[in-house]
Amino acid sequence: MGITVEGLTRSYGSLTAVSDLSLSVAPGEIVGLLGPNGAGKTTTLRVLAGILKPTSGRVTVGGFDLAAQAIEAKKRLAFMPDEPHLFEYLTVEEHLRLVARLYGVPDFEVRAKALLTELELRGKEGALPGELSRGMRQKVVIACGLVRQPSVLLFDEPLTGLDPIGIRRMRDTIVRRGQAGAAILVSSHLLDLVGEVCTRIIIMDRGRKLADGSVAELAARVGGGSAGSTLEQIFLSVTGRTTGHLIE
Amino acid sequence: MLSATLYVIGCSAKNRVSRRLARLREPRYVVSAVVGAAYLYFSFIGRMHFSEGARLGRTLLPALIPTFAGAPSVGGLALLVGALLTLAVPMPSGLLTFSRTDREFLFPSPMSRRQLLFYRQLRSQMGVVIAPVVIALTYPLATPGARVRAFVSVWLVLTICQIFFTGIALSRASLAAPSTRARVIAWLPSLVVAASAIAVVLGVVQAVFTQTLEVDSARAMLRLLVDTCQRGWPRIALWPFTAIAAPLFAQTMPAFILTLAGAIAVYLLILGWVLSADEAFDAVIDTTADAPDRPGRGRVSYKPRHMQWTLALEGRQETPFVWKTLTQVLRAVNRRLLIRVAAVGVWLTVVLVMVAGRARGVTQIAGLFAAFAALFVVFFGPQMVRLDLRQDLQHLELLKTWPVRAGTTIRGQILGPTVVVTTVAWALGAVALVLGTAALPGMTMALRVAGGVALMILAPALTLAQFTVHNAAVLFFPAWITTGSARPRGVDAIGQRMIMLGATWLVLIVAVLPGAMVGGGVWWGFQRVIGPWSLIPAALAGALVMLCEVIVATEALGSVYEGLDLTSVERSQV
Repeated sequence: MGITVEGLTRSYGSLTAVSDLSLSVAPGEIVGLLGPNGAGKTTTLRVLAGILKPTSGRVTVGGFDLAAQAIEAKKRLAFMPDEPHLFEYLTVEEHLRLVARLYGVPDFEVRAKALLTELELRGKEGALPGELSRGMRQKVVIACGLVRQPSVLLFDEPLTGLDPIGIRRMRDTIVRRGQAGAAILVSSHLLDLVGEVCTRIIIMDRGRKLADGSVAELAARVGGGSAGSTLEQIFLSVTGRTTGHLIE
Repeated sequence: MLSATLYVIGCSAKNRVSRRLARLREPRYVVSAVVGAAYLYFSFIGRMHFSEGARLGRTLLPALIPTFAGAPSVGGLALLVGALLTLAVPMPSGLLTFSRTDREFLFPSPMSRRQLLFYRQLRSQMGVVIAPVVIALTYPLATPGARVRAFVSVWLVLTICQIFFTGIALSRASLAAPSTRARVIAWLPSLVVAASAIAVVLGVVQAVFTQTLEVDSARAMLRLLVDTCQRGWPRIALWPFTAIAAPLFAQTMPAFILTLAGAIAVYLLILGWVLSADEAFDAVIDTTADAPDRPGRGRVSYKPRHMQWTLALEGRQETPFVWKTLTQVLRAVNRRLLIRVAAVGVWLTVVLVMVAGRARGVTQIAGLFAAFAALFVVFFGPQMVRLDLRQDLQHLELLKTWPVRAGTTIRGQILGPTVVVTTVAWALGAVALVLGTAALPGMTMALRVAGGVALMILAPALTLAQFTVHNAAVLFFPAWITTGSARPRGVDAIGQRMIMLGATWLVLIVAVLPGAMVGGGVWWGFQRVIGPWSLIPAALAGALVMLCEVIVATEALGSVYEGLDLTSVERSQV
């Protein structure tokens, strides 16, 4: 099940942000989506989340076509954007309750309690978003995504705004959800995170997929079999950037 | 630092103008700019040329405010009342509200607190200058010289009020400061204003007891008040306020220059006091800067009040939207909002009493007011209460990830504010019904009750229909709608609003027509049998038709909602 994308293209007027992209993320797999700024990562995630309609192509989430069976697909999906969008007039607990109602979460109280503890939000249940730091609000968004135990998780820069402990916990959370069978797609510029938690890497540039494979497979392809290529070297090589070029 | 401040202001203005000119390449902006320019021309500038008053070529203010010897005292008294209200009702000052960009760029820069205040005041001038310009341009009885005088004097009054307001906000934070100097500076304005008020009140009391003439009317009371303020201690105590108002009433240029000197002297005194109170600046700004997304100008501040209604975990998908809206309303209501509502209420009551000159008592006025307000809420509430997609468009990305059908989402969005508007309209309608006997003595009891109940039945349907039209406008023309707290500005934005308003009312009339026809038919069929009570089944039939229309319309709008992509929408906020 997981996610399958076939021939996805998304254009904004004359600009093609994503071009003929095909990929899949199987249950239990954690896939890292890498690419320079403007590569089309966020557009891809927004199409997968049902926010944008694809110009062409087909997306299925948990086996359901995102266009034809949008409700069923969205029930199985959680999208955690890089910028935490919350309702300024709802408390943390009310956000979770609202999500539970919309997604039909049966044992909301138990799950919410566990999640609030896991994300260090205990004691903040009655706080409005305006009273929280950015990192805290990011955690609320993540809690809203996880409270319904989705089978497909999309993370766009999940560590933005988190403190070192939060980053460590988030890494653990992502890995644990993957081990529990969720299909996870993580977009991030933090190569350490991607290298540590992801089982497979997809590298995009200018809307196109340039590489797809495990770190070892990509290193073998880039380095001609030489061992020890780091993810950074792989990234720079695949996208055609060199360290010297970047310094310039 | 002055050059840096002027650079920021200059660059902002230049970029704003160039953006507005650049977007005129698109036909929709050209059309809206033409409509906006025509509206401004005929509303303001056209009046200067075509009005009878312009030909008379008289001074500006005689027609605005009856000028007599005591007019500056009346103005001074009004300013004194304003100062007392400012002291009594704590409100945040616009000059102390810095944008996030201001905080991140300017606070770490080597600008002093006074320079930051100066920067904010300079930046706020664009907003302050608009009202004097409009007054100077639109007033029909003005000569060019009078227009200039009006512009300068109104601008000065507004600027002084603005800086005084800031000073009060600053001093409020220092009322219990450990430093004696800070405390003295903080209490100074309160003492001056209180002393002025006490002097005036004592003067009036004394005048009333020593007055040989009988004070038997409001006009006589006003005359007594003005006379009192022009003599002895009250005159001295009121001088700072009178001096500020005096340029407004100067009839000649020499008199204007003379009075302007006094007003500027008071301005400099207040400015000196505010700048010396800047120790509190850090305390006031710190609380603002701590919050990650502190509501800025035009944004609502929410209080974490407990919501009695706990959202159930099962049920219809429209309900969470209604719950969300009601929670928002509960947490948005604050003192400032209540004061605004009360001010509108008082204003409407005054207008009503003036219009309905035959009003004979409190009950009649209250009944008429309630009926008028109920109708106002039903027909203008949906325009003003924007707790639907007009506001939630900023959360569109989040809404679109929810597993809720598009039609259901739109219905949920409009149901919430409909509940709010209908509740207010029903409450006012109930008051009008109870006081109906006094308010509408010419009507029979049956007609009053049947008419009232019919209107209460129609209220939610009419409100729903209006919200549907407004939300359809959001979905079809997202770039032309003010969403969230953003407010598009510019001539083309005015034109957009005019076009949208006209189109919205037109669509609304068309949408209400089938319901009105069906309701009219039912009324015609029943009225011979049950008389005025036929209004009730007629209203029910009309409301039913409108509800069906709303359901069909929201379902139809679903596909538009699903296809909406805000990233491809160019907004006109600048």
